[in-house]
Amino acid sequence: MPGFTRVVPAIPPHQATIAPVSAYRHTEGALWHTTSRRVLVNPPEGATFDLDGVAGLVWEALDEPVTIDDLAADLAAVFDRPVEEVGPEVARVVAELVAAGAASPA
Amino acid sequence: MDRFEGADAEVRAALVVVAGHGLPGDEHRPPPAAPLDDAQWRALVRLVQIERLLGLLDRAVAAGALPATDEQRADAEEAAAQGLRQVLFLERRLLAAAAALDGAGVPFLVLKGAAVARLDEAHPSLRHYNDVDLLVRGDDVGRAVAALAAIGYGRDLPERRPGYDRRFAKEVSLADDLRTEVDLHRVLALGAFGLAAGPAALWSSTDRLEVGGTALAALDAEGRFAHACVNAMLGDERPRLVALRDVAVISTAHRLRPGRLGSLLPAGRGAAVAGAACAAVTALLGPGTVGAEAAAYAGSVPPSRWERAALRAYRAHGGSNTLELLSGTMALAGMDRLRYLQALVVPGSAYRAARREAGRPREWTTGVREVLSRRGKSGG
Repeated sequence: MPGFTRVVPAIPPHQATIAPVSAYRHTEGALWHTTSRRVLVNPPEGATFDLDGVAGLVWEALDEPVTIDDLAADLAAVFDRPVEEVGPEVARVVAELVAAGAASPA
Repeated sequence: MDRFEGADAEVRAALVVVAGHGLPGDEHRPPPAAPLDDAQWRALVRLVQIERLLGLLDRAVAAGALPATDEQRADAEEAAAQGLRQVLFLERRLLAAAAALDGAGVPFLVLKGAAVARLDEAHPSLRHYNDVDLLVRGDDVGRAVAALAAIGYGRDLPERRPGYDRRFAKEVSLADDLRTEVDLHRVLALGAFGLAAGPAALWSSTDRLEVGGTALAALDAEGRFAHACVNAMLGDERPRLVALRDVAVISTAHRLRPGRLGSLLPAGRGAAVAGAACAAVTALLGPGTVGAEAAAYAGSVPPSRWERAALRAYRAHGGSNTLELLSGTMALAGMDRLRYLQALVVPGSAYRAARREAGRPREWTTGVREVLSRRGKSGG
């Protein structure tokens, strides 16, 4: 699935564990804009980073509180992929966004 | 002289497509039949950068409204991303300035790009801008400057004379060490139109926008429209496309109230600016790109003799910086007029010294030269 969770440049590596049943959303005060192809995110603390592909869709979905399970199910349906394949990728993106300070538990 | 002198017909056509992207009347803005060649593309991107239309270039190309090669598509997207990094930085500075002003108890309204992006454009990422513009009341200018000084902003020049900023100035410009500008406006226009309209009407009806979850007050739609008209027709020697687009976007996104327009751009004392702006938008972007209510208001009031005389002082109409400033005397009377003239002709020593230190030209020598030069051109 090319570009599924490509993050440009890479968000710092993380070891955080996140709960798939907990809801997450944008961190209060995060700023973001979009081009035709990517999302540029500026967390309240830290540098601006870019998301493209489905990582950008994950970001846009986090505008409202959403669980990783629900988000994975939605994206699996949109891309016609097994949720078992999509779920870990969505979890990884959300965890990286949390580590970057751009997303937080709702 | 034409702003786009040197650009060929296809580049101009592409630029108009970009400036009008998403507005009604696409049929009046035919794109080039094929992607521009490399030299044309470079010329287009340069003009789009100058005109602050990078977000629109990216979207127009992605939507297929402007033919482009794969390389040009990627180029447009990268340029838009670069522009948006600057916008994100400015939004952080806007929030910092807002917090400082709130902390000092200074009411303010967000102006221009930051407001139009979030209140008028179909998507906030379409409208790029280069500085932060805020409206404060004249009586609050001093406290606002002090509040922003506390977060690293300094004035570009001292006050001309005591009391000038509070009573006569259009704006006070501030910048930080990174040269990020915050302009504290008191009124919307320099000279006659700014002083004639005054600030009171600007504050009587406002909108709210949200940046990163923080609610901020802004001019209402009619106020933003009035400001866009002023920027388009009085701000620069030639109307900036982004200002003309603002006129179109604001007037088509909202049903503007004629009564409110009348209080912001009064008949005989500002309505002609709306008339000129609407005519310029229609000439550039085609019929239907000015909202019906705005077009009706602009067409309902013929320019007064006062407006015709005032307009001639502005650079866009053949005037000069000096004449713009001097035109303010048309809107003042009695002691106010004398104090204003005194501040223009005999500014304080600190102001003069700061101008010299900044390497700025002598105002009146330059002014007289500008006026003579304009007369020479119009005479020829």
